[in-house]
Amino acid sequence: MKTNHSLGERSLNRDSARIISKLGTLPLSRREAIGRCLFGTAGLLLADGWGLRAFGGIRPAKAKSVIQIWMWGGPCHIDTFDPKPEAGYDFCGALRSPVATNVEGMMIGELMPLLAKQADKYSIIRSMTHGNFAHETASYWVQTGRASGGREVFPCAGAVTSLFKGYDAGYNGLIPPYIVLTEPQGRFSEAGFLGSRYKPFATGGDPAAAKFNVEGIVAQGMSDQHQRARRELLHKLNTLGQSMPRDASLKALYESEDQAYELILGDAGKLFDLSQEKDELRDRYGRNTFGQSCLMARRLVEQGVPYITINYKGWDTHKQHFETMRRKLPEMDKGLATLLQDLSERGLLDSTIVWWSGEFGRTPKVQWEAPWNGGRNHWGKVFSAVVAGGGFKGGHIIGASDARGEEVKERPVYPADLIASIYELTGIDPEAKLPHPQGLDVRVMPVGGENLKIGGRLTEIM
Amino acid sequence: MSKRFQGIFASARWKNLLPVFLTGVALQAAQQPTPHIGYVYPAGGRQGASCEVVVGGQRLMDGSEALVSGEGVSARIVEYNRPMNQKEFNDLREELRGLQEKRRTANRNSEQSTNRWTTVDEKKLAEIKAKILKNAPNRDGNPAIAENVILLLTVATNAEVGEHEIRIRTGNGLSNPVVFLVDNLPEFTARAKKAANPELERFRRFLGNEPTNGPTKTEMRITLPAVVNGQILAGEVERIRFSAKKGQRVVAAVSARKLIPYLADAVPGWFQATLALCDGKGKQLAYDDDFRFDPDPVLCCEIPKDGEYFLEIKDAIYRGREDFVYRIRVGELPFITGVFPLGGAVGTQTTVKLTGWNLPESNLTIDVTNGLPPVLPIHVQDNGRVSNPVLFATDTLPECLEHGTNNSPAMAQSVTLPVIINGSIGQPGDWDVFRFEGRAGQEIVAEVRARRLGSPLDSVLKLIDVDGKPLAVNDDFEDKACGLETHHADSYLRVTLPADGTYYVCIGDTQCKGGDEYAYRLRLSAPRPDFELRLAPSSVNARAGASAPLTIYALRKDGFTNEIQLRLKGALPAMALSATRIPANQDELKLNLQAPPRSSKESMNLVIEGRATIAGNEVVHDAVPADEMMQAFFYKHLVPAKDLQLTVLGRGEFRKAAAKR
Repeated sequence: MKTNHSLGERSLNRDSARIISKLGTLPLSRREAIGRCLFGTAGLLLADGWGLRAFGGIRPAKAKSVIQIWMWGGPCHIDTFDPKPEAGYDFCGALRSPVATNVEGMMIGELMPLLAKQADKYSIIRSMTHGNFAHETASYWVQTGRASGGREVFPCAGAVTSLFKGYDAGYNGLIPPYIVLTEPQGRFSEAGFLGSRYKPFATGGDPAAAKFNVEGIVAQGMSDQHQRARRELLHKLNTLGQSMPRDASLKALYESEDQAYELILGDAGKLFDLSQEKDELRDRYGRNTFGQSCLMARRLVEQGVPYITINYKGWDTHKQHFETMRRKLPEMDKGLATLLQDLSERGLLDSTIVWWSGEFGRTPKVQWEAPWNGGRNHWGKVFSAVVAGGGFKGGHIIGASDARGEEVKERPVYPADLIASIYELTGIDPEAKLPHPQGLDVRVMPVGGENLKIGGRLTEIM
Repeated sequence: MSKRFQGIFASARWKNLLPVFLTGVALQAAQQPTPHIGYVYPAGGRQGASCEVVVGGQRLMDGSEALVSGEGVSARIVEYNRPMNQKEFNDLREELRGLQEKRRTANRNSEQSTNRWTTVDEKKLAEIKAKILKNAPNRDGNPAIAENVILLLTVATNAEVGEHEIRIRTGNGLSNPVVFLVDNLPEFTARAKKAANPELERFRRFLGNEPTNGPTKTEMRITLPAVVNGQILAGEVERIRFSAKKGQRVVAAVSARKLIPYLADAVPGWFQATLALCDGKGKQLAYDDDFRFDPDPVLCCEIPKDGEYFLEIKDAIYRGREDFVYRIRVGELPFITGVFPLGGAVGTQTTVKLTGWNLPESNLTIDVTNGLPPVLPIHVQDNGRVSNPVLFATDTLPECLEHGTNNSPAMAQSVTLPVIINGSIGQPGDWDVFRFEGRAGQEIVAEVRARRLGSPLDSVLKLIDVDGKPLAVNDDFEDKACGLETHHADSYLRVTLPADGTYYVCIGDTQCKGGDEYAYRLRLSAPRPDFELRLAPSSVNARAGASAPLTIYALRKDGFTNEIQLRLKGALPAMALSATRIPANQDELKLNLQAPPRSSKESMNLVIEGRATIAGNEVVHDAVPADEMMQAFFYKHLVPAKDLQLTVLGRGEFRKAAAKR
């Protein structure tokens, strides 16, 4: 049962804690197998919350869900949402022909023609900054709003949303409130001091595969019928349960088991079955991991999941940058543009924030020399982020970088400004207290004393 | 306080880029794809011997010449290789299939067929196979080291032992320099390696051959003493086996980071070799990762009994690539681990105490004559076996030795400024304290030179007044002249004294370590304003009549701020610099070098000197050629090169070379 403990003691309500205490003295075999299979997923989902009510922090919200498109590795701002054709070949390579969008005066990178047609739905922040150049620390900063290195490890926006809008706040969906498609980052602890209860549920698998094998929910190579048969066999072998039919602890465990199987075999399992979508729509999203992740994210939003992160790998383009841009940007363009359009057509965009960003931008001056051969390094002085929906106005540009995209020219926006704006729209009070393990007075966003630069919330587009 | 990854441009001062003097022509020249060397293997050779050397890099096609710095080493290019592109591969494979089909048909109808299988066909078939096996396409390969040229290199019997540099000249100009070490010991060299290539393996399977991929545990047999050359690919561990007798004091010293100091695309940013010495049964007798602060390991071990032994070398985190090149000097070789004092005053004879292994003498007398460089390498020889070089500083200031009992202000050693104190932090936790009398308004400098001279000391320096009140403290001070250092461990203080009275300078080790080898030189004097210049890159390529960009870095010392005049020495009349002075307070200057109007087949050795007026005297220093190298994706360092070479190309050569690509 150590496995369950390691999932976080707070994830267990009193009953389940008692069960574990009792079962800990029993020679577990078959049950342990069930427990390990199902508690891993469902234990986190089914357990009761703790003490959120003591912290308050919920306000009326415009946005019900957030889709965070995490451009893992740091996408180039110049080749995406902050083109600088005048800077010349050494800064733009061959990508010197930005395209006009459906918003007058707004130009974006030439490899994103579909996003150009959706520009009225999103706003671009061209003056994101933190000055940090390392993946781990910059990822932490952009997703928590705070610089790393202090005595606390803060939770990221997804974990904070999970705290304030998840089970503790009355969310009762079977799907966990904070989902990552498909791989967790591993570059920082998403939940920080909030603990593992608020970590994301990472689906694993590949939504672009014939069958999206979601970790712990949809088992690889196993049909629903096969899964049911295995369950029945387990019940036949369960002599302990048969000899103690009225034991309250075992009864609670069986209830957990029922709900976990519901997750696997019931509606939740179907949610991850993308074949239920029309082929034409799946094609529009793009038949690749990112495109289908965007489609999956929309389906999760429809289910009311408050926070979904798509961890989109492959943007750490130290070498052969432009070849990668030509391969990946059309894929991103298709997935993100279709997501915005699809959310809008279904009336979901008004209540769903889409946040596109990486940990930093990339060196504006191209490194033509060996071993980079046309690469771009990390660049934290200025980079771009995009926000859409959920109360953010579209068609605006916030801030500006200088002529070469090297420094912030006007209206610096720090990660804390952006995250606080998202919290405000999702109804999370940025000044609410976070439950700290040592009981310290720690707020959702820094309130004085933390000596963190801020440029102000994005009131221009809220 | 380790700042191992501290970069030379980390300080804000260096980020203030200064006026840029790039013309359009110079910019164009800068973008030309000049040849680049990633590694040289073997990275050294023996006096009086010839060997084949693989030079791996990029844009090495049409290499016309290999230049080796210093006297006595010559090289000529005998072969060029690059992975074939997909079209070349497809064409050859089709041709191969056609021949195989022809052979099958001929074998089926051997009597009737007019389509006979001939020896010419057989030869052609073999040639195609060999061609593909040698240079198979490699989409997974690292383009920066995918090409190579093979050199036939000859080392004269009188070639200088130590560091030389190899550069390759192509139609696009001269490459960066890479270290090549000359030694006088027998050399053992493993075959040059190529990293795993899935496309080659597919072709080998197509031919029915065994796969060659996968990490290997290779073994080489040598006799002592020797220099061993090898390369480490990902996951590999290499063994070097030898026989040794009881009581032999074997030293094994690796050169890996010394050969290629920085890898831009690896973390840590160099081949971090580890070395183990094991007996025949595999029991480990000695192991080293870093030798003190130096990433290259060194082992010293007294052999316990007659028998078989082996060395085992690998990367600390099992990385590897063709440019993870090493040399190991192994045998009963002299190896100096400590020197005291670390320097001497000009005009004196200084007797230096040496500690180490297999040293023929424990004292060395150095005649510190005028004109010696401020730092010179010294070594010892034992029956022709040369020791590792260690550094010895010279200076014009008066010098003294530290007394042993000076651990507190009460026991402080009295000194008179200016002075250089030669001392050591003799025990862990030890402090050395020096007392001097100062005046109000007097500016003094306290500078430690220890790590920069090879001492393991990680100094910390404090200046306190007579009441024990600290006036200044310093742990590390960045010396931009030391491009190979990543932890600038030496301390430096420049202070204006607040009042007449007694002051104490205290020196210790930040890590509270100590021992005889923790030696230092501590300068206490008025500021001595001075400068050094670095100039990058060390290979300048320009078209005839056009100009090429250069960057000059002024390394200002002891508060020196004056302007520095620049002059091109020994240049042809048509050559000129676009700027001739580094303005006062400025640390970096970008300028252009105007090339002569005619191209030349020979590269030209250039010198740029800097001239400044300091306290009414004219001071002149030549700029040290250097190359900006990147460590681990981020940190940049100026690594000194042997010389500055200008290559003047014909006006159309860049274009011709580009068209060929």
